[in-house]
Amino acid sequence: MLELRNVTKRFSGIAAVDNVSFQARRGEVTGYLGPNGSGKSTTMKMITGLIDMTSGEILFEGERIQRDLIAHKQRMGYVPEEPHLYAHLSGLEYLVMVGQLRNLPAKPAAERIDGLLRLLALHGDRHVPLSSYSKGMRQKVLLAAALLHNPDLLLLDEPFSGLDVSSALVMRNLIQELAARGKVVVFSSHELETVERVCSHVVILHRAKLVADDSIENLRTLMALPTLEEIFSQLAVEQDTAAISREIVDLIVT
Amino acid sequence: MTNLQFRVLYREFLFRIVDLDVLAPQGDVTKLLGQFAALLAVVGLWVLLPAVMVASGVSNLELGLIFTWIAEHFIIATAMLVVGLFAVMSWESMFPDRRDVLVLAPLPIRGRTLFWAKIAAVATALSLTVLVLNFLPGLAAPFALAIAPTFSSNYDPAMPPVTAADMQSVLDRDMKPARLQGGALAPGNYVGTTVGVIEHGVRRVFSYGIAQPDSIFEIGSITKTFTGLVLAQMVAQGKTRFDEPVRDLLPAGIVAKPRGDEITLLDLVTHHSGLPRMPDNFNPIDWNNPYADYHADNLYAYVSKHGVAKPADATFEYSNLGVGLLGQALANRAGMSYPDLLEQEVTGPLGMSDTAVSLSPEQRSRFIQGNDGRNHPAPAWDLDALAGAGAIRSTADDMLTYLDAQLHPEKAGGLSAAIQESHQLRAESSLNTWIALAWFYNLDTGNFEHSGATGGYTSYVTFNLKGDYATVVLLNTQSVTGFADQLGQHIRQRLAGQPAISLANPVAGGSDRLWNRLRSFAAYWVAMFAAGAFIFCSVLSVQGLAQLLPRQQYLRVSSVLQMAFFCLLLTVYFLQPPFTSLETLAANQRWLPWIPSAWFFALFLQLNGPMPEQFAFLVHRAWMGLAIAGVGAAAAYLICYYRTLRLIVEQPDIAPASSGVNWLPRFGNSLETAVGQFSVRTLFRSRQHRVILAFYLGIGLAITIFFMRTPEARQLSLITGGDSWRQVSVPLLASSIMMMGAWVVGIRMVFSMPLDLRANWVFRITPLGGGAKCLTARRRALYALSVVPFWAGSVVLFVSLWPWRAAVGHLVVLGLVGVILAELCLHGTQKIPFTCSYLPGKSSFHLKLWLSVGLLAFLILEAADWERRALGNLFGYAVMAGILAIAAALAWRRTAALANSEEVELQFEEEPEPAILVLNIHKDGVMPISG
Repeated sequence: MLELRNVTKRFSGIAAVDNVSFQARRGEVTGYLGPNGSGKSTTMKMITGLIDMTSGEILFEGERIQRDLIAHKQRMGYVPEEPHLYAHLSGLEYLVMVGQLRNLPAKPAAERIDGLLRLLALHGDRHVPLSSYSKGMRQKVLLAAALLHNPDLLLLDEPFSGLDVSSALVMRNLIQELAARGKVVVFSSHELETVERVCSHVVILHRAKLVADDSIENLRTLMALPTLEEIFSQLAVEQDTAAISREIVDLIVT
Repeated sequence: MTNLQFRVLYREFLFRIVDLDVLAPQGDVTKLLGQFAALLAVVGLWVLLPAVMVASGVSNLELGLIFTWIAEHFIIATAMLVVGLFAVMSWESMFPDRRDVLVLAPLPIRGRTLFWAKIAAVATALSLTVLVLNFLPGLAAPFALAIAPTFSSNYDPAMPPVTAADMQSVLDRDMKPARLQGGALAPGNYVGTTVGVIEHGVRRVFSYGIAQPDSIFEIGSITKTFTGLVLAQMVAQGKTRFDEPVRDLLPAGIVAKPRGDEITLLDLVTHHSGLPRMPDNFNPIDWNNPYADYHADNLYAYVSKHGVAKPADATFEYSNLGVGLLGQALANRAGMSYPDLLEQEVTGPLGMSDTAVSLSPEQRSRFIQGNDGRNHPAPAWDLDALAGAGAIRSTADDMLTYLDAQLHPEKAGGLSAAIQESHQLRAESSLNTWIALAWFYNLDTGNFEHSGATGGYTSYVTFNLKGDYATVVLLNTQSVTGFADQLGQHIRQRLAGQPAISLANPVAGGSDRLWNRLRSFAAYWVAMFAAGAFIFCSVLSVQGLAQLLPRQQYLRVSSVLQMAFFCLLLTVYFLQPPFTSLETLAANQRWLPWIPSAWFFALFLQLNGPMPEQFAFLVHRAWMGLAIAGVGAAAAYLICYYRTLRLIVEQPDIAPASSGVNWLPRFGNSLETAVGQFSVRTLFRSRQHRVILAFYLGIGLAITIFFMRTPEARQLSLITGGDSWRQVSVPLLASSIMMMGAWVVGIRMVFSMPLDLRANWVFRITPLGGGAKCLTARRRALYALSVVPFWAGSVVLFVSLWPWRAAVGHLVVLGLVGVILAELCLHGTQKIPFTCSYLPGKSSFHLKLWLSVGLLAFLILEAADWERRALGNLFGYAVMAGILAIAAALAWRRTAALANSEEVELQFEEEPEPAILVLNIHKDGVMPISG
């Protein structure tokens, strides 16, 4: 289980994540939602150890991750929000390097990489530099790199970005399958429809603070709203979106 | 609207001329541009130094001229190098690229607006570079150089052909300027010349300065024509053949018969044997009399080691070794020494009683003291095994006898046929010049000629069969302006009734008149802008031509071209000869016309005042080159406008797939292999990092050149010609150590510059940690890319050049130095190569590096001198190697101890997060106003 306790991150005194606590359990997919700038990616980066917390603690399987960050990283897979990759390497070279950095035995790693490349339809382009990959292909490479070492904790930050329809369907099923196999999956996305289908539990952030942490069913019942989109709008959207749209059109046509 | 678009685009393009993302990944443009300006200004200061030294005054005008020429050429060549490097660095932003097209194409901007904005930005960048670089030297150098000595060669008016009988009176008049203060024969200079003229059988000998008509001089390389005549005579006598292998004339067992062609006697006398200028075992004890201890045993040892196979592609290469070997071989065949053979075959029959290798006591009293050109006595040269290349001493009168025999072989008795044979042209030696039996023949003038030079003497002889005249000039000094040749040419021109080159010292003191200073100022800036525009337009032209290739091919060759241009710039810069004399021009006439810095140096001279006529063709080339480069650049932009812009839109920039073969070895465990292979792949595939590395190697090369120009290296080069590589010398030892340092430091520096900072998260989220494991990975990557390849290259180089003991000894030292340097570079923070942010403004490493370069150069020279002495002394070598080994072990342990000492973490940020975030808004092209 992944547990965040009163986690706060401040940049120059301004809170990007403010006193956030929640749990992500094995066997379920936790959706991590919030508008742009609400602190989702910052939280993800703190869970990966990329950035330090200002206060609070993060525990995985009851252990503070900071106690042995190296061991934590060994059990974690991460798909970042932006597909930044070393573009001069080929897809295969990149995955081999990640396997080596994770200290995987060479032969099993090579077999696993080969299998992942085939299943993700990247095998034909495995020797092509990543600079020539489309956004969706890069996303698949990131996913393969995150799964390569069979992690216990999977952090997926906008994993559907750039994927075509069939790849997105594969990804959706894959996330559920991984959770079913006992992984802890934290999944952040703006595509609420997908979140609603995939996740059993959602955490919603607004202005760096936690505004909801429950199962989707409970939220629907509690707020008497039929869809996650409406729940999200109620909790995290302050603007009158229809009015803003009208104002934009008025601005450009006058 | 168009004007506004132009301004916005111009500003955007100007700020993108240099790939800022690479050099300052955080987009710290203000800092970076400031650094660029500072760097250019520092280079400018460096360039200024020679000019200041010139201005500080050199009392000897000839030396002053050399110094001025070297300084002027250095300034122009360095400016061209810097502008060229700038052009190479801005390779990607010279033409509209995919980003420009795709971002700007949807906007209502005319293609030509975009196009002109690009050209204006590039032109501004060029102008700014030239201006900033030359700001300091451009203000000071013209005024300093205006008062430096200048060349003021001109011609005396033509007069009807002068007979030999009348030559003395004409020469007495023409020689006056040379005998005045500042002239070649000025009083108090201890310099004298004896001149001999023969025309239609009338012969005259005159002398000037301290020389007497019967003074004996060393004639240096004119000796080679005597050796050629001895050969022809022995062939005529049936004692040998022109095509006889030289091996047959050497003692049995010296050298085995080679498989293919072997060197013949004719190959030796025509400098077509493939033999180098000097043997590689030429190690004089006394550099003032360098040939004295080179005996037949040494010569045979060389021949035995290198064999007598003739290279299939043997072309003309002037070789003292070759003709010296010929003299020794002929002496062997005749069963006597070379001096005796010479007397028996040539000087005896011709009655040249004052021409010999060894002088009698009476002759010694007439042997004029040689002079080194700085008014210091120079010892005579004694040649033994290589006597046939330059040992003869003679008088003008005897040389006239020799020349008379050349003009009228029919009167030469038994030598008649041999002399005629010796005039047969055998092969082309250089432009418009052929070689006979050691004689050079000028197709334009119809003159046979040869020059000679030793430590204290210069000489020149020429004869013209058609005009039936000949002249000899013997001078007891080395002369940088080639006075012996100049006087010989003058006499020949008088005999032919042509305008005669003036005998006034071609070097004149500068003038501090305002007009001179202004002219110098204008000449400087015109030459600089012309040189800068040439090099910049050349880069544009090459890129433009490459754009004619299919788009995919162009993308592939573009980076290769950029690197090739970089290497070409550095190579030409460092290997071009300095302008030390007019003879440099003559010696390098084959390839000097292809060196652009020489063109613009000549252009500067022409604009700055009188210029030696030999430079005229270089000025022509400067203007031609500028015109061609300008047209090429214009064509490149037109190609881009009409062809490339369309292709960019139509074709995606898809890079080709690799072969899939993993040729990289493992570097140890998984982590070490990952870091090692990542480092190698990044360096091989990132053009920007390769360029930065090349920059550091260029610095190393520059200091290497500095070493190669130390007095010892110059002396070695003078004596051995191009073969100083084969000597275990301080300059070479120091150079290899310097290059090892440049290589290691260069790799260390490129390691610290990230490839794509945003992609380094993959290292940050994997379980790496710091400490000893990571140190090993970094260490192996550094060694694999720096110490190992350089050391391996050195093994090939030194084992092929040097005796094995010296080579192995130096390679051990070089390896230990490499280890010490690499360990020092590994010291400090823990960073995976290419993954940590880099702030150029913060790094004090560069400052320390530049400040310590001078000190380092001195220390390395001293260390190399120590090593050279130690290489010949087993105990000394053991002490030195032991000290280095201990230092290497200590450095290794210290690095390891620091990595293990505390909770060491990998570092990915050069600086901790700032308290105040800067929103780099100026990346859009608007510079923030500080303060």
